[in-house]
Amino acid sequence: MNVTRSLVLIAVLGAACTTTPPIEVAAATAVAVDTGPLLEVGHVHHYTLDWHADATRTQDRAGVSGGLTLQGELAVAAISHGPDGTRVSVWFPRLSTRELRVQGRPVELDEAALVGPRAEFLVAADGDVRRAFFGADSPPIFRELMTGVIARLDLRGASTNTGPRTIRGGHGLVEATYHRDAHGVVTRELARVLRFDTAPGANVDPKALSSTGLIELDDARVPVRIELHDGATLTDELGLVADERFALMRTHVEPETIVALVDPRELDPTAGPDLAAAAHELDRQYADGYSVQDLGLAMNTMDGGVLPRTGEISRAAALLRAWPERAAELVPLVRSASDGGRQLAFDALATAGTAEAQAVMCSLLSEAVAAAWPERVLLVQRFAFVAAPTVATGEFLLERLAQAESAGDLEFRQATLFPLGTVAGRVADPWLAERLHTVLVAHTQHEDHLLRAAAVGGLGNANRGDDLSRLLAAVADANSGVRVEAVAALRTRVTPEATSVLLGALADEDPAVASRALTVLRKRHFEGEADPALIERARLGQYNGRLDRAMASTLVGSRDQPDVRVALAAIAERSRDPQLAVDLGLGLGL
Amino acid sequence: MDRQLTLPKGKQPKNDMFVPGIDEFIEVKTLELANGMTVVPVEVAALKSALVAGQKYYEIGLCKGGACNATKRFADVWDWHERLHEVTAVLSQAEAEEYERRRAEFRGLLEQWGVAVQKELSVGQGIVAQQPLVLPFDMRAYDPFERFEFEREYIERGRDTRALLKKRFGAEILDKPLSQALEQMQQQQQVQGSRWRGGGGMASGVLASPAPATPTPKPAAKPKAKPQAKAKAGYAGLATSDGDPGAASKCLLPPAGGWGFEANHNGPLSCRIGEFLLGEWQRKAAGQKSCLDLANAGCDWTPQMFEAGVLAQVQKLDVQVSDEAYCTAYLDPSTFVDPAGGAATVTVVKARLDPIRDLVKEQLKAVGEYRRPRTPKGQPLGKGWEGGDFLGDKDWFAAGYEYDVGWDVGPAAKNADGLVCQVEGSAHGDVGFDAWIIGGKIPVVAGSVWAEALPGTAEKAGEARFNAHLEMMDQSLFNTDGWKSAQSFGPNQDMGWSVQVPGGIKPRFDVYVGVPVSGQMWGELMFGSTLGLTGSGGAQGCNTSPTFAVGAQYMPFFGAYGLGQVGVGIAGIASAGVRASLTLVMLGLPVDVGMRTKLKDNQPTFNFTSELNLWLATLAGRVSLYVEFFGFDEEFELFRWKGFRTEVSLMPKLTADVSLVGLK
Repeated sequence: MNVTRSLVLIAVLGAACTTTPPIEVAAATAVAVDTGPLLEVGHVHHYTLDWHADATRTQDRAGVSGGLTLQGELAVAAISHGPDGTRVSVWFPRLSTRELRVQGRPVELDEAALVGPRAEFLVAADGDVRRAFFGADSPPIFRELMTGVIARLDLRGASTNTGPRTIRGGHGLVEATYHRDAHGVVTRELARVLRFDTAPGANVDPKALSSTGLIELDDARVPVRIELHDGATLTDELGLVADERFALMRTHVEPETIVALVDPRELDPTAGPDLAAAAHELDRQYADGYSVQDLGLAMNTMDGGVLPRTGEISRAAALLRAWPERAAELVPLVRSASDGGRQLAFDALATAGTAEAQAVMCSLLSEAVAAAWPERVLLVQRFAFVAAPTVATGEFLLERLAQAESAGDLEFRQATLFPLGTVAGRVADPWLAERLHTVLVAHTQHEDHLLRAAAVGGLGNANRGDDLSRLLAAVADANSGVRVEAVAALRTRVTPEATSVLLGALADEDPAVASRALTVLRKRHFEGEADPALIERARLGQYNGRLDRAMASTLVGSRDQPDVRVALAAIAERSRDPQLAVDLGLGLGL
Repeated sequence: MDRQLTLPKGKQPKNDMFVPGIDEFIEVKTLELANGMTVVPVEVAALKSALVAGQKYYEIGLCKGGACNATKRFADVWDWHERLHEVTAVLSQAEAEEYERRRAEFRGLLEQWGVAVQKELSVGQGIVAQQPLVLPFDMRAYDPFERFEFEREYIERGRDTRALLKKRFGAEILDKPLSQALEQMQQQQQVQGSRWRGGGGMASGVLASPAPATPTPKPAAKPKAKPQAKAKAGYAGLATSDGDPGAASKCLLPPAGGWGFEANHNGPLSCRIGEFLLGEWQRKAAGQKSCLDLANAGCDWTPQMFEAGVLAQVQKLDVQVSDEAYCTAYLDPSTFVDPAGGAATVTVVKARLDPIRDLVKEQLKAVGEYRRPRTPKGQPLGKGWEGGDFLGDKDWFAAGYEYDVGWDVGPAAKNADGLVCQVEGSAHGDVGFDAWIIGGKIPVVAGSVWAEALPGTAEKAGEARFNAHLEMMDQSLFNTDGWKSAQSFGPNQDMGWSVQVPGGIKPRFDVYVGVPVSGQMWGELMFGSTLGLTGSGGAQGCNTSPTFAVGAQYMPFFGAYGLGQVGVGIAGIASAGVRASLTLVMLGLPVDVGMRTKLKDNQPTFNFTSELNLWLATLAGRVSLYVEFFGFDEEFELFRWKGFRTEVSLMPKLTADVSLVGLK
């Protein structure tokens, strides 16, 4: 049956305005919808497909570029009509060009992955498509690309002048409006960007984007031509240049009965790229060819004192992230390894950081034999490298701390307090975080200075704003070890108050405290600049006398400033190190 | 005087893969046919012969004049370098790197094997020794002849281990499965009362653990691909295929009966080495360029070998000049006379020069360069060193390092006679570095140690106080002896333009073109340290034989590396990775300061045993990304640095005794 193609949109509201008899709902081949397309079951609409997309994102010298070209044929056929809408099957009968470009290099996609599988979607009465279905064994690349095609196969053209519609287009999830001109051609315009997929994570002003769409419909409101063009030039904000053109042109309609998919999987065609799934896949690619046995060999080599080669730990972590269940296979290897091998295993587990990896770390440290491992205090430190600690990890550390206290194991208590702080600052459960923090605060008042110092270090790791007053108080502790941890903890508290306390700590009678205070000021508070307060202290010698050289190093980069030169000359004159005096004299041209 | 410029000579292997003894990894098994004939696999036999033939391939410094042919026999190592430079000049950069990749893979396998054999040797000896932390040997030594020595040591170690095991446990122990052998050895050694530490070193890592039930599964099955040639585009004859890419290694699963001793070439690493050599030999058989082809010199030399072997030793010329000046200054007519029954070796000559130096110079002048301006308390000594640098490009990879080390000691009080009765002093080491990855700064490591001995007073004894602080990835950690860590790290989370994926996965920068194309750049950290802080403060009151000691052994090693990958985050499409790593910084700062008071010839004396060195390598290599698609892979370079490595003696080893009289 030929469907006459017309450029004039037939009004569908008010069937009485036409002489065409109303469409019977009971008919097996078609059902009346208010604004959606009239797709007859048993007919396949064939389109030529021409899809080009390119995007480049750079920041100075780093960047990534990608591109896609799909050219061939797209087939669309209604399978059935129901209360949820029309179920439509869609597939690629032929793709003459199927090319990805990565960093400018082309790769041809496998034809068997794209030509052959079918997908289905549900068209609602208003032309919206919210549900898509794929065979359980359909290749991932087919699902990804066909989801994009379904999103761009815009069936909403008939419902014009009704306000913005939420659709997924070349830029991502957007709101668009539809307007029909006198010739019946529908124009789609971008109103708002809800989610910018071209550069995931970025927020953009729609005014910075270009987006045009033209849709022509036949008498049955089925698109006969779709042309979409989306572009973005956001070089200043994102370093992004992107361009996408998507075109469908119907060539013919032929009768054919299509069978529905059996037990398909459902996907949301409006969903954005699954970043976590992409990250998972990238880990699988990076770990390809690396096995648990390889990690075992690296552990063995580390037992022999030889560090692993570059890339080894990254691949081990990728393996454990891509296949989290494999973390359990490390257990026998860890038990039979020695110091170095166990440390490497814990490093791999910590940098992988999955829930399974953390569970393995906890279970190994809980074993009775672990009490005899001399490096166990170092193994528990590895929880400080876990990016997303679980609740179980936090509870484990609390339990270990309590057990160490019962057993009188001061060293293990001390060692546990540092990562306890890290976990307190990173764990998602706020109640657990509060419990961990409370334990740390309690330990900052302990009579044993080693525990106080460790607790202060832990508070520094937790990085909570409400700990500033505690840390400032700890800078005045009677024990120098506590004071060192306190000034170190101020590295992330760049406030005038903290800066002032650090400047005072420069004169601490313990050079370890003064030296750490100077390092924190230089690297974190002043970020390499010669602060006037620091210059003045240098000029007057208001710092620990063993820090002459370190103070000179801190200021020498700003020796062009007159007040810095004066301070450096004062250091040279005052210093007990004759070589320093010579070096400064040469540097200042004295 | 043992630090002189040395030039290698002798019969040398053709390249890394021809280390003497490597043929022992290849077993030529005769096959018996049904008709009773025996057949020797020709190719395997040919490989074994080639491995033997290549072991003493180049002769350097053993010929003169016309006897040298400048192809295999060279008058000296300069001629060897010159000739191989000419031969390899036609290689493209990518070919040279492919050869280096194969050599590096071989060296890595051999080193792992050597470490495993070391463990078997320790087990056989019944002692478990703590191994000092070292880099892989090919990151410590770039001179090929130095590397050959390491490789020879590993092979010798294997032979020594076999001999020891045979001697102690009988020859049959070597043919047993490892688990049975270890059990027998443990029983025997416990009976013999060896220093066996139960539970800790018995089962040697992967050697004794059961193999996984199944090998690591391959990723989700790729869609059926059209069969396409695997030859790497542009490098005719230098295919990068390692055999059938679809087949798993036979060495992933143990043979029936289980793995045996690596020393007897029956372990998984021995299997991998054999597999590697066979794979490399198959390249030759297939008409491709191979490192095992005796007719192919392309794999035998790189310009970096010349740099490491010659240019890196230039600084030793300075040392040689210094040694020569020392010798000239103190020699006398008897310096070079041969002693009875021997020759005037360097050791003998030095033993004669030293007392003369001592006679000429006073004790105090031995520490002359460490003298500081006198104070009312007496003559203090000490010195400090600091340095640092920033290298690289913050928009790609960059690193900044800094160090501050030093020591000081001096009188703290004198008695009524003006003799020193209290001493104070300290030693410290402070090292750290930061890294930048695509604009994001990461404070990677900061470590410091302080040891201070305070003098006593009339009211109370002095004390020694110590502090060791460590931060990694901006987290304060428990600093104690024995850190050995390997971690990956990424740019900070608030870079602004990266994709933030929860769970700590590396930040990415993505574009979406129907599929997500993702780039990732991250770093790796290697960190190890030995830490020992000791000391004692002065006793109460004023003592003519004051107590004082400060010992600080702090040997931190940091290595930071840059890596990257670009990939399409859809299963079965493409994989990409980093072809070569970039060394951001490798810094080793072994600080070994020991100072104490003691009685020598009944005189209170101040004793020094101290040494400070700095070992630094930075920004060597290139960052290139390769993308592997069906049928071919492509590589493209992002950035290249030359890099450099150096070893600096900040404070040459100082062993001296200074009478406290000299300090007053």
